[in-house]
Amino acid sequence: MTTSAENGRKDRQFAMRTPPVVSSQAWEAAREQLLAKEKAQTRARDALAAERRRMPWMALATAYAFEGPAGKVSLLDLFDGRRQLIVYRASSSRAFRLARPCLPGLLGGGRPGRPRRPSERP
Amino acid sequence: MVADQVAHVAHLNARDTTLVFVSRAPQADIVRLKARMGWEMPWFTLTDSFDADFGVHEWHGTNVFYRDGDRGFRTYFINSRGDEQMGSTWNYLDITPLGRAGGLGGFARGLSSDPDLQVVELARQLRRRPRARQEVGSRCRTPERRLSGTKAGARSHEPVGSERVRDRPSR
Repeated sequence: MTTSAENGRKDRQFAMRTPPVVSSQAWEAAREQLLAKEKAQTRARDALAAERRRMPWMALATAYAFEGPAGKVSLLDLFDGRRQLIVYRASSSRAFRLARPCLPGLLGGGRPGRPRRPSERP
Repeated sequence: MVADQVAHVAHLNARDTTLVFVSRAPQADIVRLKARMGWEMPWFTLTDSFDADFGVHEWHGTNVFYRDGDRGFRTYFINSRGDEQMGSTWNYLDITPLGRAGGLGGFARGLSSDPDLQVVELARQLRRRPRARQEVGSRCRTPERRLSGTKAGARSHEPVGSERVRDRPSR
C-alpha cells in the first residue's frame, strides 16, 4: 500500500491506508455481508472435502523403511495400529543445524530452549 | 515451522489417525530438535526413495495413507500453499478418507464433514442401530491430557513421561 517513495522514509515505513471508520449499525451490516460469503465458502469447503474422500486409492507396492527412535520400521508400522496415517515431510535442514549443540551462539532466544528465528538474532 | 502449529496428536489418534513427521535428518538431530522445541509428534528418518516416490523429495508435503490389514493405500497428497495451512485437527481429518468422524466406525462413513451436522446424523444413525452405539462407545477414547501451565518452554525441561497424566490406554 505504501509507495516506493514512502518506503524510503523511516517514519512512514509501516503506514497503511486504513478503511473507513463507521457506526456500529454500518459495521454490523458490513459484517453480515461478509458472513454470507464466508458461509458460502465453508459449505464449498465441506463439499470439496466430501469429494476428496471419494478420491480413488493407490495400492502401495514398495516396502519402505524408516529409522525411528527404536530402530528400523516399515511404512505399515508407522500406522501404529490405526487405520489412517498422515505423513508430513519436514525439510528444514536449517532448523536441525541450529539445534546442534555446537552452535550455542545461535540458540537460546525467545522461549526457553528454542532456536532463535533469523529476526531474533543479535 | 509447521511443527509449531500442529495440534496435540492425541485428538487425531482418538479418531483412528496417526500423524508422523519424516525427514532426511538422522535420529540424533531429530531427537535433539524435538526436545529443544518441545515437540511431541513421532518423527522418523527417511532411508529410501519414499520422498521421491511420493512427491516430497524437494520440499515439504503431506501424504495420506489408509491401512486395511497388511495392505496399504495412498489416498491423498497435498503440498505448497495447500499444505502450509495444515496443523489443526479438523484440517487433518478433512484430508483423510474417514473424514471428521474418523475412527467412529465404518458406519460413520458418508457423514457430512460439517461437525455439527455429523453429531445430528450420528445421533440419527445410533437411534436406528442400537448396536452401533456400543461400537462408538468402545472406540471413543479420552485424549491424553496436556500438562497445565506454559506450553512448550516448561515442557522441554521436564523428564520425559514422568509426570504426565496418562488417562489414555496405551495401544
